[in-house]
Amino acid sequence: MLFNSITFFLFLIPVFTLYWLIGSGRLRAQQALILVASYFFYGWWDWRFLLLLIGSTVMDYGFGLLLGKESKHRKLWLVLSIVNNLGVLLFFKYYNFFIESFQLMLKGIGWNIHPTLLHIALPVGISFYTFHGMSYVFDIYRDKQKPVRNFLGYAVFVCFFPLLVAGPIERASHLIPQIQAKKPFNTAQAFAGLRLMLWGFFKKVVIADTLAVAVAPAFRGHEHLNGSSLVLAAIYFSIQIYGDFSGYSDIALGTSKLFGFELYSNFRFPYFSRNIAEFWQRWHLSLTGWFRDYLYIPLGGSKNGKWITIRNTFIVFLVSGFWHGANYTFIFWGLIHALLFLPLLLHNKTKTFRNSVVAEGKALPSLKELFQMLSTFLLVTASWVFFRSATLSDALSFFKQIPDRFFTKPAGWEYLPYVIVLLMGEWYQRHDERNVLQIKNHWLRYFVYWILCVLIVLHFPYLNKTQFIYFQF
Amino acid sequence: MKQFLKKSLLFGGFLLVSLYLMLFKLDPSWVEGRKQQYVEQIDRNVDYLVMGSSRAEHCIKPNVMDTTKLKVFNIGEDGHGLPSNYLLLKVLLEKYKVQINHVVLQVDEFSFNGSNGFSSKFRDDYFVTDLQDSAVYNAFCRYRNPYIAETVKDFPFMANVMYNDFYKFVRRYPLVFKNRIKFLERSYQKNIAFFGIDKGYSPFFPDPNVKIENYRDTIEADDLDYFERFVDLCNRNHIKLYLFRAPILECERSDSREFDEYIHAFTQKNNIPYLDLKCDYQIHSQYWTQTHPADSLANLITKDVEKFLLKYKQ
Repeated sequence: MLFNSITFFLFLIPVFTLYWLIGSGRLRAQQALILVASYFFYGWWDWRFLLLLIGSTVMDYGFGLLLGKESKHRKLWLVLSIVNNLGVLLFFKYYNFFIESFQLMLKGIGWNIHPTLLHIALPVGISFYTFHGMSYVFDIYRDKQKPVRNFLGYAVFVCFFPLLVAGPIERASHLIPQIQAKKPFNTAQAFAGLRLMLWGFFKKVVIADTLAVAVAPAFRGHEHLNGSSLVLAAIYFSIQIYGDFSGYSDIALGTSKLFGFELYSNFRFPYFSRNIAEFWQRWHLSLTGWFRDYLYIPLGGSKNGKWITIRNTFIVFLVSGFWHGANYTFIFWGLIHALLFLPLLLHNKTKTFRNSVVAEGKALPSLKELFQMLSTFLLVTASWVFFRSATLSDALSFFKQIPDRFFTKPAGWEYLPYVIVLLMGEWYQRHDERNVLQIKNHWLRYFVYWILCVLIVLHFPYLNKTQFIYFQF
Repeated sequence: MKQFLKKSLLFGGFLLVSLYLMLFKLDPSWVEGRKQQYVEQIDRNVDYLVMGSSRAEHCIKPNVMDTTKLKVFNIGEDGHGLPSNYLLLKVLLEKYKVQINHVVLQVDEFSFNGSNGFSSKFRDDYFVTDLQDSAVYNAFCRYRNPYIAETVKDFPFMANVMYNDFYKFVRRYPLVFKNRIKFLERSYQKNIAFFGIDKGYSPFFPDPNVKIENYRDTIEADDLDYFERFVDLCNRNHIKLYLFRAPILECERSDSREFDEYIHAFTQKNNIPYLDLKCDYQIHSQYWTQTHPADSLANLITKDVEKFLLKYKQ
């Protein structure tokens, strides 16, 4: 079920009503409702993949219990759990990629093989829910989390419907206590949830889906376009992917708030970053945090000298790229970010802008800040070209085409108002990503809500489904 | 909870009322209005009605014909496959009682392989306000969504929300890529001037280099059924039917063979005049896409169609 569908609203309203009718006094019943609703939500795509989700949940729950016991086999249970989770992920997501790469390698030395490839769809959200499960068993192994005895509670943690298909990737230590606690209805939290949902729908339905119309033909037929059109299309894609994914995350966070849950923030206005390090402190935070805690730090983090830190940083970025999909374009995208990160790492400037907001207390940025933000944005945009292109050679050919008629009028400039409106809205709200659309003047606030609703209604894909980009990962 | 529900319902109610006023009261059903324009035009002065997909829309330009001999009106439209054409003709004849003696239907393998039938994005479902007709209702349930059919049937105002011009304007904006090729800019302006009179926009998406892919070599049962219904509807209403196949680039594609065999046999058997221009005009620079001719080529094609119709008129 897609958030941007009528079906979702028809699903959400009764589930929300029933949830609060049951009341926080009957926690088990509320948990059961969330679980059934989440399975229904997921099964709406393809009920067969539901079996995979349930299987994965049962396995990690079991491994969690085993790891919770004092035993000399703890390491074995952990390895088995990782093999189970990564095995499923590798099989469904990367099997064809590895087999084809292997086939190509053998062809290079004169061996022609014809292996069997999988022709099945990638189960939606598999990268997200396997990472949920893995974080749970890792934390138990490292004694940071006690195993959950209540299967219902654990199952809700893995498949809570707002975050099931594209995150945010939650941690057991953050979400499970909320699942197990009684939560009375909180009016302020529910309104904040609705506001987040509204802003999320605006970013997805109005901004991202509209820009997608301009982006798709430019990437499909870049060889026929002038350079200025390609630069504009790349910028549009930067905004599209942000609007799409952060829009999804806002809807997920907002929906969770309606049920009394607080999820991790996934985005903190990343395009107002002043360098690449700050960008990664603001982009897809739940995945970045996951890799930091379960890959970077176990590899030694930054505590074993410069070279080990550089090695670990490169590993994290490459794995992060590969996590997005079985394509060299994603790996290359990760590599570019690692290379952009490297100078900051060498000069110990990765934490310069941590916990600060650009133009703090001011309406506009200084020239220096503007230059920093623009240069970071353009570097990120260049990397997105690899992310968006079907192959590496397509991406390179895209760049080669840019000098061609660069100073001529770009195609698609008519979409610029969408970019400007989004950036202005985001700039105004840049201090707090969880409390959006907070306008002091009562009437102006409701007028903005109304405008956003009307725009969403007019742009809504009633007859044609538009996917979220991150659903494929 | 009470405060939350109260405020949400109040705001939701206000939103619905304002949308209703904006989209319905101020502009009472543009879908219906557009169709009314067609009806008036056909009733006024039309002998030949051209129907079909965007290939009909872009290939046949009535104003290029000798209007003293042929009074032609083209309602071909982007994505209109056989189901839509059948339903539109049925509604025009039965609900709006238009008088029409000749219909020119553009057909090709794309109209028969289900790819365009009812599924093309961002197109006009002119008959969305005719859901009382059981054929329209059934088709809507089958190709769109039974919930949408029910909703629009009971709340016609929703048609204006779903098919709002604003949405389509935004979604059709790939037209801006027209300036990729210089002559497209001029053609675009001309076409806008021409089509704009009747339709308000022109869904051009110029890319002759994008090859036609993923079409199956098959004649879909649904399309065949609607085609037969279309022919039957013409017969019952004493309408002389003409079939027309527009030229496309790289015309010798294997996946059109089944269609060609079928349509030649069908037209011969039923004595239906058929103009096949499939492989004429293989001039790459004169196409916007693999299947859509540019303006100057459309003039030549129109002249061919004119000759064809005049031959049967005599």
